[in-house]
Amino acid sequence: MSGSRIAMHDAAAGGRHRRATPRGPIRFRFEGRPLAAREGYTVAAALIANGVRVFGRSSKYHRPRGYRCGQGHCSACAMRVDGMPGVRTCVTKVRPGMTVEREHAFPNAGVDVLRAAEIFSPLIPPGFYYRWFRHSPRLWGALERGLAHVAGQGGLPSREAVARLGAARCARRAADVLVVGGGVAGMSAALAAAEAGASVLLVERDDRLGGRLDDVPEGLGGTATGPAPGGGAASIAQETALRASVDVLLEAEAVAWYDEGIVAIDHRSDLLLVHPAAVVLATGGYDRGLPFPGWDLPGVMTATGALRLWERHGVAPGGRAVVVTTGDLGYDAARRLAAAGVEIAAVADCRQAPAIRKGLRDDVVRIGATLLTQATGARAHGSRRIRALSLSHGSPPDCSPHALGGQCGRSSRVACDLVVISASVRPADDLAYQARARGSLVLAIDEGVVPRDEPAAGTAGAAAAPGLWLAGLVAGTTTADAARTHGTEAGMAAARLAHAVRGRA
Amino acid sequence: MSVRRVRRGEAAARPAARRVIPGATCAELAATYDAVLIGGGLQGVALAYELAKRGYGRLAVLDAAYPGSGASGRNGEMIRSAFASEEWIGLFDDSLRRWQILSAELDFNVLFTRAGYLLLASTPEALAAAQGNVALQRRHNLHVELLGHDDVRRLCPEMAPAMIAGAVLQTDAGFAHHDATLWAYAQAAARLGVEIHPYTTVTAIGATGGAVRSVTTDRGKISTSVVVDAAGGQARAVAGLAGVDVPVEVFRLEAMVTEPLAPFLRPAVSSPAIMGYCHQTTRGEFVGGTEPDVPVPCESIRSSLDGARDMATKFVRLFPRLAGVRMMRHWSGIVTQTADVAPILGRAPGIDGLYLDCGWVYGFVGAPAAAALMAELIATGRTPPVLAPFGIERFATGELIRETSLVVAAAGESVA
Repeated sequence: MSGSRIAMHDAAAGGRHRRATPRGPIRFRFEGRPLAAREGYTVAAALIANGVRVFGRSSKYHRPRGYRCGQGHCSACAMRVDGMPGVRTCVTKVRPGMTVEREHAFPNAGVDVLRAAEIFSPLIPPGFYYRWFRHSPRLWGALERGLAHVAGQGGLPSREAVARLGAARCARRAADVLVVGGGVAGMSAALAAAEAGASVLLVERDDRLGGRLDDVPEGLGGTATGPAPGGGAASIAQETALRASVDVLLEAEAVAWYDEGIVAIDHRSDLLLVHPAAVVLATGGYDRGLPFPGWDLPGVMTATGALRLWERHGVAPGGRAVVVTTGDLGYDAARRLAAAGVEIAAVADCRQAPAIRKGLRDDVVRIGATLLTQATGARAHGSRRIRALSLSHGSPPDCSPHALGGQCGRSSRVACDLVVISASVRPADDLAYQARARGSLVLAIDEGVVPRDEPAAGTAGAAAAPGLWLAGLVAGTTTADAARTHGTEAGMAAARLAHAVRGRA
Repeated sequence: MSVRRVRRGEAAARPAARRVIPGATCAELAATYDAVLIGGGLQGVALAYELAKRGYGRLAVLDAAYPGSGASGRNGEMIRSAFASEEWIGLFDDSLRRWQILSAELDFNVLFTRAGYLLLASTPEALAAAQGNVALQRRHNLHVELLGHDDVRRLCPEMAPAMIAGAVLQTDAGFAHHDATLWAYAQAAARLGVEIHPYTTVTAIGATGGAVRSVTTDRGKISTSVVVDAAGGQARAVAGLAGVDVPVEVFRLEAMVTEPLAPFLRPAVSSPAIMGYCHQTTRGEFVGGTEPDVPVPCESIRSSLDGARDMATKFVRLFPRLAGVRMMRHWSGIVTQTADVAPILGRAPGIDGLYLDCGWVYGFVGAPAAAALMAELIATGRTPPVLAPFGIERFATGELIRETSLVVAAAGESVA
């Protein structure tokens, strides 16, 4: 027992490898406190480097929320930045003089008395408002006014923030082929379309090309075939950026697809309307979480989120980590975090030992971690940040995310200040649905389950919807080689269509 | 590594949907019903509830998709009765009185927020017209106040001063949650034995000898002597199955909701100057819609770029500090609009047993009264006086209802 207390104490202190407060050149204010950050940090990275872990509060029970996905996909890191509410701090660069505040808490998100709401959770189950005071309009009126003040997230933007925005800017942009997503598939599509003579606009919401391969050099998952062909993502990125007929727009997110065939792109708060003849969606996927109690505690993050903190900013995501994985990808995260100086206490894999490649098992030994098979997260402990993770192991080897988090089998508790989740990937197919892509779209990409190779709609030259091709991870392609092949095929098909359409016009 | 795929389609959704939709049944259709209501929107479901309350026998509500999938789940949720004509005030104030006690009546909180309904006047002319309406509204004992510029600014401090000449505030009106309202009616109806059949498409209405005999669906044929057309956007097609022409045009309306914000707007606001209406929910979301100045008939429920830009531009004009706030969702719905924008309520001409409850633009606010009054008509055969002006005969006789306080862009002319 005392041993575990010591471990917990270590974890609480951030472990040996925690970095000191960075003495960067950028000064910004966090809730009145002056803080420093290095050039190029995101606001989230800057706050974590300064020891801030609670980024906000959940809307009902005011549960603490922290940095999680690192991809601007979840809203756990949203804060008020320079008077603008709901800013995703994990994809917003810190600038000199910036003011950053957490929202939706009293007196602040660090110490929030509204957290007490969870004590009353048996009284306020989901949908309680459909039951309460239904026979007393007067009492309901009073309650509802009270609720309005504890609900809501940020306040309206400040007048200064509105003035800084200025008038909304909206531009139109021409292109034969629009490629959404600058990973290997997207870059390959752009290059192939350009090669075929089309003018290409490539939009990437990140601040660099490369996509997932930038984060996962050895490809994605068990059938990975090593680094991207032709010398990795960096060289394709360079080729893409240098190609004259490919226009690359970074920090540009395609947000909507309209019936007129117009794709709306949010480019650094400007609206860009593109009306291409053909579109290739190479939007990749989002890391999923795993549903166990406490999954939302600060310090529980996706593998991408944790790795980006270190590999992009040199900020350690934690001192002592447990990696919970459903496939091979988690081992890569463990290796890379260990290289960053994070102590890996355990790797929990929901698969049975024989299903795990020996090389991976050796890796775990090499980084001094314990491998727990048929194991997964059962409960995260801690009040404002994670202190320990209970694992259940020996449970049936069902790797479906819905079956995880079960309480069967033995359980053990590991002290840690970081839990890295590497579960299945959800394809970023939002735009495909808006475009009414037909046929079978990919529902989820799971590792560790029996491989099945079947081309998804919209890959290998077949359009998913008129003028729309899917390529790469969003279409179920899981290796760099396949992403490149499918991307190239999609790019060529898109260019052919663009040529036919422009020829008629 | 593997990839799981699903074929996403209506067919796969049906069995599951029947189980999880509040009030819906997964039972087979019976051979005979005393009344069949076509359309599982708020009108059809509420009317079924009112009929069941009167003990009207075996009732079925049929919907081609799921209950509330049309305009009932897409509208702007706002509630008022302060209109400018005797006819509208009569029907909608009856409804407003029912709204006040609806949660208790249905044993389910429909989240009616009595925060007031502000009809904004942005020009002196609009204010003068509003003043005239207030006199009429007071004669009908409506709780209305005429507000000047400063009063409105006190009530809505974030509203752009340039947009405010004055306003009419109906203090006991406001907004409710449209899904909760539909669920409440559907569950209450189901408790009384009403069968709500989702994913059931009507393909024919059988009428012989000038009277309704049957309804044919893709799940089988039903014999019945009473059919109600409450099919919303499809009302014209459904009436057409019985050879009745319902003179409506279909328009797309678009709406949006922002990320939740701390409270900044208490009453529901509608503004003819921007042809828009909006409110802030208890959860903090700012919800609203605007309409184009010249609407074009459109049956699509796809959201448009023009719609998004129209809403963003106009709502920022009305509330300048909304600039930069993220639009969380944007959706569309269709309304059927008659020549005078008033609904069609009553018997269908020429066919006994066929009733019309359609042509709605203000259907959310009007549903509680329309349901109760239509139930009275169907059960007793007598047309309640409040309902009388809304009969379909008015389009033949030319006695259209003149209502001037609507925030609706009518085809060809603006009635706002």
